[in-house]
Amino acid sequence: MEGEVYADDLSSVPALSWLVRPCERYKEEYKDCRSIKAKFHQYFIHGETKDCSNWQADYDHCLQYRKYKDLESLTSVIKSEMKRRQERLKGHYTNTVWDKRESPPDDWNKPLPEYLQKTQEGSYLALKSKEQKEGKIEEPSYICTIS
Amino acid sequence: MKCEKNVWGCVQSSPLVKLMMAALKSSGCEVDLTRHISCEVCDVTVNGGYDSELNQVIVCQNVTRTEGMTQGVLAHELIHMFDYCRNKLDFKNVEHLACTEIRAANLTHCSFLSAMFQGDASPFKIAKAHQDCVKTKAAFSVMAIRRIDEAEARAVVDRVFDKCYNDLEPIGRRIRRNSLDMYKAYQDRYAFGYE
Repeated sequence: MEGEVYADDLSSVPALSWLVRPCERYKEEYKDCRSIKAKFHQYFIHGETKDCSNWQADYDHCLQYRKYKDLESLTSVIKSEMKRRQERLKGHYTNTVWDKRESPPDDWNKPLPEYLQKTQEGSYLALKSKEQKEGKIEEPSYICTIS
Repeated sequence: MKCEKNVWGCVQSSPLVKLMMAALKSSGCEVDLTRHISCEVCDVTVNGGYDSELNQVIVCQNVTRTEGMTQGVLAHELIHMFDYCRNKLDFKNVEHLACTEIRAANLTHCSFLSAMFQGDASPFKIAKAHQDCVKTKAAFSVMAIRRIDEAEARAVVDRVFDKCYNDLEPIGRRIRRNSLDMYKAYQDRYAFGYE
């Protein structure tokens, strides 16, 4: 997982510093949030456009930490990430239409009927799945840069 | 074979499908491509489905012909699998069914263009039209599965809508087409325990 704080430094910074993304990601989110397409998307979903200033603030604070190791700035970004996290998960935890499980369903991998097992046996997906389990498939490598 | 190649292509390179599979694996419900995904010939009116008896995603190979379409089908059906994995989802309970369909429509469908095509949005009706699109799509899915009429389907969707529309896990955002949202959602996976 990429973060702004290096793994070696985590023991000397506030807890939850691992939540802080590389600064460029805040800049990208700010730029995107303000774009016409994003504004349209926000209006389409929420009926209003979002305030994007928190992304800019996080970018500025992130750079302060990067340049000067300012822990107050880092803490500010951590608080901002926690707030985003709470907002995202609030909808999940307040979905009481169903009860949460304590463990996965027992029948997750129950065997398919025999006639279906036979059709799957020689399939392309069966072959690829077997190769993947045997470690013969390499993850495709690609470079993704957000600028 | 083309269908299976498309599925394999998505599993390897689609950030959305990879995120869903990572979320399922970290929840203790690893997806076995041989066991949990099947390419089949279906009625021309459907492009895919989730068989709750067998716990298997069906990709309709006669309708879902491109990797792009396959991505949409897999993402939608894997939401149902995720809901079944993490929750006591009873597919015979029409409210549970409506909730998982609302979430799948919310997270994997309903761009402005598809909402317009469906009749839920227009250049004069944009604000919050996304919700109407999701309600319509979910209601029609419920009707297809439970053979109830539109009024009843819409009523059950309305009953559970507010709770289910705001539950965005494991994707965490309503993805905008032709943006980097899918990649960002995939990047966020570690922070939420999905890998």
